[in-house]
Amino acid sequence: MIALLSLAALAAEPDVKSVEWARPFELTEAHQPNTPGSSPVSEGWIVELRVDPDKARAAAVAPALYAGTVAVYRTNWDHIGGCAVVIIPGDTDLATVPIYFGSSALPESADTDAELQAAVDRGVKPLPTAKAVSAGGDKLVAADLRDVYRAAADRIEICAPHEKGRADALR
Amino acid sequence: MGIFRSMRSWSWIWIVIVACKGPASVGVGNGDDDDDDDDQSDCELVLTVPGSADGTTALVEIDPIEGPFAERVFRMRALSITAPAGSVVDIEGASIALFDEAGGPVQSGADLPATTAILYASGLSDAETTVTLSSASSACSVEPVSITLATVGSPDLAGHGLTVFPHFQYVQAFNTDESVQTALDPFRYSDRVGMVADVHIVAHRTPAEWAADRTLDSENVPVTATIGADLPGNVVDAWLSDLTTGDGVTSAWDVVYDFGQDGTLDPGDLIDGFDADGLNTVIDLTQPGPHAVASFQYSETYWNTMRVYTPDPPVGNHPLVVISHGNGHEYDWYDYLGNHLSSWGYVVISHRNDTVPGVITAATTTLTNTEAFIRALPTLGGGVLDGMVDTSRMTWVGHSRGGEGVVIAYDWMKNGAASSDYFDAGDVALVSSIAPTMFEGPNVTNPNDVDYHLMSGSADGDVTGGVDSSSLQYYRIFLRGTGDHLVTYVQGAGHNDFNCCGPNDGSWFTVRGPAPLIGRQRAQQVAMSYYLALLEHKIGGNEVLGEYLGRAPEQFRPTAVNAYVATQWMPGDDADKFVVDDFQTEQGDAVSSSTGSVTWSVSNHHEGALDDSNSRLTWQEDDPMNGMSWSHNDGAPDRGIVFDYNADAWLEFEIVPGERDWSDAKWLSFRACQGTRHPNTVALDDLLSFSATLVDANGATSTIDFANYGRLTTPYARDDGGQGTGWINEFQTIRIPISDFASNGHALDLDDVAALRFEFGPSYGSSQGRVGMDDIEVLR
Repeated sequence: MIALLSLAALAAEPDVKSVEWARPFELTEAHQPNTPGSSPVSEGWIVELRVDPDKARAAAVAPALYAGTVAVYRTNWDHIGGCAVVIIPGDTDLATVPIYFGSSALPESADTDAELQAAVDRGVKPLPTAKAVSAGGDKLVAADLRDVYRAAADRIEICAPHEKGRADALR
Repeated sequence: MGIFRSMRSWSWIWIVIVACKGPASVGVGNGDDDDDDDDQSDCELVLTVPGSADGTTALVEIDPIEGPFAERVFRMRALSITAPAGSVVDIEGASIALFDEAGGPVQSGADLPATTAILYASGLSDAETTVTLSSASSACSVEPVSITLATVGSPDLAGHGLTVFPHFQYVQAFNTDESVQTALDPFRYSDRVGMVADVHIVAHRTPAEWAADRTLDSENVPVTATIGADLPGNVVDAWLSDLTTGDGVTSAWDVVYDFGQDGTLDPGDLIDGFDADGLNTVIDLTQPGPHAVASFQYSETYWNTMRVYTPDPPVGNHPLVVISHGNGHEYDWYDYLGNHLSSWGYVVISHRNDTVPGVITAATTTLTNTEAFIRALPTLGGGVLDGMVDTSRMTWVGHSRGGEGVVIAYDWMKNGAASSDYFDAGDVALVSSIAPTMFEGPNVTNPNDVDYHLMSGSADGDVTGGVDSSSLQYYRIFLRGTGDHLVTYVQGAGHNDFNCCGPNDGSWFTVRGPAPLIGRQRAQQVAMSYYLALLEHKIGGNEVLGEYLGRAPEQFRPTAVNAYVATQWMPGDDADKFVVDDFQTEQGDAVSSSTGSVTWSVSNHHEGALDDSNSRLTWQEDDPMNGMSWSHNDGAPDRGIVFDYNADAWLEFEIVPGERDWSDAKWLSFRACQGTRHPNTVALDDLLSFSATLVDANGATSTIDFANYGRLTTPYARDDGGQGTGWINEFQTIRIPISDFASNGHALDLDDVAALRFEFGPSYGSSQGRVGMDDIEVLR
């Protein structure tokens, strides 16, 4: 019985464990995402998460990462330490939106409302973000998306130094 | 005549002496070297064929290529003439053209100058012609002499001897660590039996170059061969080691049988080459090419960002290759491929690919980066590439999600869902996917009419190709395509072995048996080799390198490839072929798609969708298509057959009337695989072969075990996906030259093939097995 309880506890542990750092950004010129039919993006967050390393690894078929109903842009795949630096496009209230791994369906074609509902049903809740936002500092006013990814690359070098090559590629 | 006319481009010939009387003679040699003191000796009529073994037979090569006589004469046969003044030559038939020593055409009925010593005969068509020499002089009362000449195709000479029928495999491509053997089929070239020739291998020359220099500057040590009456005895070890290569991927050589043994190419000698290469040696395809390579980054926007690899300096017209990476991968992870292809003359861009949202988004980035690069060419790198890049025959290569994205991008261009001011679908000559996903299904991820190639590894821990998920079953991409389809399946290669830096996905499962993980270096040697061969063949037009794609790797694969590889080559819908059975129509298992009857004695014969029905690899009798991953609940699925055997057994396809003339066909082609985890496969635990038998209308048969050409791989020893060991079924294309069935004079009427029978069991190949088959075709 003790063992079963332990397994249940493990299963309940969220695969997105914490928000470590978060910085808002604003684009002076809106970015039109590559996904057909998507809306332009002029603001968002650069966020450093701690996640289950097994779900952080790079793979073609892998659970997608969401903030509420928004698919986030992943910038790294740290399957060792579980540092995930992501870009959350749009006006998102980090304090109230759960961040979670959804299904392996592709975000461009996924039913994001259903993804969120499934996460809520699993007990996923918003994570504390106040310290992270404080650590992130002032809003980044970026000329274009390259500046945003450069800022993300700086975070990757700090939290996942073995991914320095990837950070360099983002720049 | 049917037996012999059935051979492609050749026919039997004989010389007939017509009413030879008095001093007239037909013979070999000079014809006048006796001491005949007949008082009419000045009236002697002699018509001989120098170089004919017995003086009574000779063949003339068909030479359809027009050109100066001085060049074409090497394809001709000399006729030695002794005739008095006023003699006349008559030509009865249209399959031979005659020329005098100066190259002037000799018309039928023409008077021969008294000085005429030699006429040259050139074959025009597959028929017979009688040449008659007669005296028109009242002073010479001799009977005319005649010969009847027939024609033969130009010889294939280079290849490999086989220990069993068909005794010899004629090929064009040789790795430098192979040896070159030659053989003359004594039944095709019967007039040469008993003759002696020196076998030379010389650097390929054009006809004009041969006309300018007939010297046989041999690359090999010339070997003297006596032509015997049986093919196995005619196999010559012509070039045993240290095969030479030049600066190119391939180096061309001609094989000459010098029957004059005088070190020069003369009419009457045989040459495999001349108008085309006789044989080619191929370098280690992982070696860098002749170009230095420069690489630099170009970024227009965050997503339109790429690494450019270019020959340095560019010299013009370099075909463009676009690489689209996979999810979690980076655009700078393909240096090995970019540098390699660029050193061989390609401009390569590897671009940032927006894969996180999915394959539709990735397809968009393939298109925008391709366009951004072409648009920037006038100024890129200071304009160094302006006018130097050929964007009319592009290749798109994608990996993983990028591998699906490039197919979708092509589909959009083809069907008008996307367009560009800088290129259109017709500018994309080849699309290739490395371990692609299949999220969107075959109606969206559709290569349409473009030639499509897929490379994947059996040790892929990510896009496994396994039967448990439709998104992973990449062979479904072929379902709606109509162009050429090619596969390079690499045992032991993982998903990220094809880039520099992805995680070791080969550790995400366990492997048993003799085929380990081959690792990144060996996998990339495979990729470099096969991609160079593929591009040089499909984009560069190098026909020779197609042999790496069409011959089974067990017998022929690039030098540096140190792995089990299974290859497939399915010709597109526009290929000149007769489909015996592709199992797509006439879906009753006793009728082929060509409407002929199908009968068998093999066990557990089953026809249906190539779709593992329970998504597990555990062998179960109620899932006969176990391990098949070519469909997954798709409409109009790819279909095939499976069966097994553990004793001699057969499977026969009737050839319908109207499709029975195979005399001009090149290959019997089919795809086959071993059935994974089946008890027979487990018990065999080895590569597998069986035999193909052609049955003519008279019941004559000819049987070839394709082990001669390379066998079917053993399923990879992976043990996830269910109980037992063995991964998905690895189809291999088997191609058997049709002419091999009539090798060495084997009596078979290829004009009238009534049945194709596959024969299995210990008398015909592997002792037991579980086999899947599809796409049984005759390629012309």
